[in-house]
Amino acid sequence: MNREYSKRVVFAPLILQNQFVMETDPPVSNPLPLAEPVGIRPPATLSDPEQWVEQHGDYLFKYAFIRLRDETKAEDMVQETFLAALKGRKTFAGRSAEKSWLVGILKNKICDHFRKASRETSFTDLEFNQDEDNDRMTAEGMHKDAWIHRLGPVEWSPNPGAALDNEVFWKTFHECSNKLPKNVCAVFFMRELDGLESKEVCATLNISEANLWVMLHRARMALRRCLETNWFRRGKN
Amino acid sequence: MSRLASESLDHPLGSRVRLKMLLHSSVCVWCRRYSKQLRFIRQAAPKYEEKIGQVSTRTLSPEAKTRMKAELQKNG
Repeated sequence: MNREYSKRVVFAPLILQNQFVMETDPPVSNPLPLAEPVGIRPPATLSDPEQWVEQHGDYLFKYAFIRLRDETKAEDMVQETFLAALKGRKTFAGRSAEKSWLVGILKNKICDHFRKASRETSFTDLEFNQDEDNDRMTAEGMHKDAWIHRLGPVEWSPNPGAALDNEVFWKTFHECSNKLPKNVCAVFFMRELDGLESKEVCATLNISEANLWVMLHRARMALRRCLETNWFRRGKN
Repeated sequence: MSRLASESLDHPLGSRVRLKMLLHSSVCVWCRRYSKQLRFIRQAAPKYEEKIGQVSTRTLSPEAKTRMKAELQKNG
């Protein structure tokens, strides 16, 4: 149902936004009752703030916990998100579904949190996976740093894309990313989930680009290896 | 080589480095696979956000929910 919901609401508001919504629109209150049976709300409206907690609280909390790995902080962020949303609800223009709007606010809060935290303790982690996949590569000689053939990456075939529709794959992805150390995971998600440019991540976290690239390289390497072992080659070793 | 494969996802590499990678990849099947798999991870990662609801079993405690509702009411 969720997927249907987001598909339908994404496009309509883009059109509405420019053509019909005037700056002086009165604040919208409850969604129209006829939206109920099919599970979609008309775009550009928000549900009653008191329903947000039941409707989106758990998702936002899961999201915040994955990014922060701290239950208390995650709860705080969710509460702050709701309060910020309450304040800003008049500016909600229906550009996105309510859930994505709240997630957007939460993401900003999480980035702010990391920014502040990085001013107190350095965010750089060059310890993790220091040896990288070295046990899988030739250590010396002419082929130094070349993959040892039987230990090199295997073909993820026939169609790795099919994994994206598989719940168990995502459970594996979840567990593998959860194994990354906190800061390494934080930069990886800022880059790959939030889509921030290297420079933006560095400016937010006060780290050098060279160190960021090393952290991202090791995160990808570890994640790749974990996905290969636990998903693409599962049951084969 | 694996480091460069990753870096190529974060910033443009110089033309000499790119050429070196290209030449090396032409004879290294593992390097080609590695690059392809990193691109797969990049493409997959954003979809993780849609799946979080299903893969994570964490939920807000009833107390936290009550507190948040009260805060919303107070400030609403």
